[in-house]
Amino acid sequence: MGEPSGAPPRGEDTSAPRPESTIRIESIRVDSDHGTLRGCDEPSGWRWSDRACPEPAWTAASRVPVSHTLGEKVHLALTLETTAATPGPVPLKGEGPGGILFRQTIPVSPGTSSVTLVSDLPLPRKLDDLSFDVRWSASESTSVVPAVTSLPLLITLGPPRSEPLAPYKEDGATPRRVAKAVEWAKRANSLDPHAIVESFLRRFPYYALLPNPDVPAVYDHPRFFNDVGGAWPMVEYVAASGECQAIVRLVRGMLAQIGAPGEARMLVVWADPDQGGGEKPLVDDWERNPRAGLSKTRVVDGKRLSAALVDGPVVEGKTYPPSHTRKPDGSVSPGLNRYEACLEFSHGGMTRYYCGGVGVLSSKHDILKVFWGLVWVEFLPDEGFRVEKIVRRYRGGEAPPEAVPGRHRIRSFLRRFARRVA
Amino acid sequence: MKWLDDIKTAQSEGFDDLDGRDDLPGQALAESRHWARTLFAQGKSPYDAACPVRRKVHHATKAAPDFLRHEYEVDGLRLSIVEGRSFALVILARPSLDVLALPEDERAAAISRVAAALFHPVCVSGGVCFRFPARIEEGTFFSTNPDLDPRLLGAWQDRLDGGIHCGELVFLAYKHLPWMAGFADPFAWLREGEAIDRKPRFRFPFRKSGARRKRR
Repeated sequence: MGEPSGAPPRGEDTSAPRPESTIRIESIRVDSDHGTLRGCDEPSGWRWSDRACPEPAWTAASRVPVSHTLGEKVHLALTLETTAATPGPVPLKGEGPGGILFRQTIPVSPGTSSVTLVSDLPLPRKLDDLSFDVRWSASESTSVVPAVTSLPLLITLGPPRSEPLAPYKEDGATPRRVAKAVEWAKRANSLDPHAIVESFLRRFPYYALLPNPDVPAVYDHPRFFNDVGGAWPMVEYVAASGECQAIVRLVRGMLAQIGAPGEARMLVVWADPDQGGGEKPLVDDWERNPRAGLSKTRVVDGKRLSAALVDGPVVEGKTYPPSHTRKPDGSVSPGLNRYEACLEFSHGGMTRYYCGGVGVLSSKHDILKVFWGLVWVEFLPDEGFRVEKIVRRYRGGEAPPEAVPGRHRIRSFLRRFARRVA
Repeated sequence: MKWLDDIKTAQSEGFDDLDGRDDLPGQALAESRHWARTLFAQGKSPYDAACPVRRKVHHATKAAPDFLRHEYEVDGLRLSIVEGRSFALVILARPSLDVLALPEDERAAAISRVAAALFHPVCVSGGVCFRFPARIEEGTFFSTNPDLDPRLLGAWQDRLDGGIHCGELVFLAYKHLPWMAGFADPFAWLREGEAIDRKPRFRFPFRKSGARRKRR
């Protein structure tokens, strides 16, 4: 979070007339604060705490972060302790960041009083994490102490979520989480939730499928099933990424911190040779059915064949090493998959799909194109496989047509010719 | 069983003592820890057992793949876990539990009790529901779901195998990655720099998929 930009006055100007009254600011409460932040007592971890952040936001001894909706005026409630030589009205003025002004004439009399102030301008319409420094002044004969007050202000789209709904509580708001979500969302240079999600996902060019030794074991990479913040520690290990479901949880958590609308879920997408010849994408919500995916076998001529989605070109009848085996030339062999995992984000009647390393898609049909094709394979004892049949190609054209018996060749030729003419 | 044969070959070739974790590639060690957390109940895994764990390694040869072996004792059970890239074989030393010495009608219950104690409780669906044959004796093998192909498991807990081998009770858990069909190369597990994480991917030549082209 930012540091105060204003500096308290140093020393005294002996040429100026000595103020006769002093207004001491005892505390500031931000009435337009969302009041949903928790865990101010745990500033360094990612864990959610159910302890609400204390009020007021500012006292001489403490500064508590507050969250505020962008584009809205700031409402402050000040508690003042006045030592007045002569009671009477005094114009109190506070100059905030971005030209925001608090201005009100207040009756001054010795003792404690309260005053509420409303900024003349709303906060800018942008996400921000700033030090809300206000420079206070009054009349020539009245000084305000301290001259500058600062408190951490997190400007969001809406109220961060106070009561988490997610199993690992990634959506519960804490100052550290809101600050990180704001930091990431600012990069989108847009307030459109789709643009914000896209900017989040741009940080994760691929989904991690195996644990990374650089990530402490306590975080349970790449699943991030832990009680020290769930998916949140991933923000410190972005290069190691995480499973698709962990990224979905993090994205949901971040959207909840900045009060952004929209629904994120993890989809698994696959095809089945027995459903539309593998053309139709089959989709399931991973959180509802974590076992979803292609699990089809059949026995042909005594051979047990398994259906799989292959991610590189293969040839019928050819034998391949186990999935993604590194070859001597540095390339890797084609891999067999059960599904492709994607993050689906919907908002404002628009749905976008973010699949590992393939960019943003607007249609489920396109997701199957991450695979080269759908095949029947026979697994070999060394975990390699033999391609028995290419059911469908998703890239580079359709599967080759079945061998046409001689007597049908002319009819087939005429049919192709007619299609071309049409 | 193919896995038992591979382990037998590796044993005949010999396992080397693993002095420090530096002797293992970081990726393989991280995977081993990850699966230990996934498969075993709290306090039962070879990485969080209270007693010291002796580790041995077999580097792949032409005849047998990579193996990591953990030997330790937990709750009075002497365990030897032989871990390959795609499975973990848990062997209970005979003195810990001599299943064949038990009356026949008590063997199945004893096996289920040990499995429920060793493996992650929430992960073994509905307790350990082995489909036991009528008699449990030397050479008997059983499974929680024998019809399911281990290469196509949606989750490891969908199939746990067991058996009596050389008088010892063994369990076989498959370290299957749910997104994958089949297993990765078992001969390349302990190879430095080996990872199937960043698999080759087709990248769309366009950023956003647009509306379908109209047919002419």
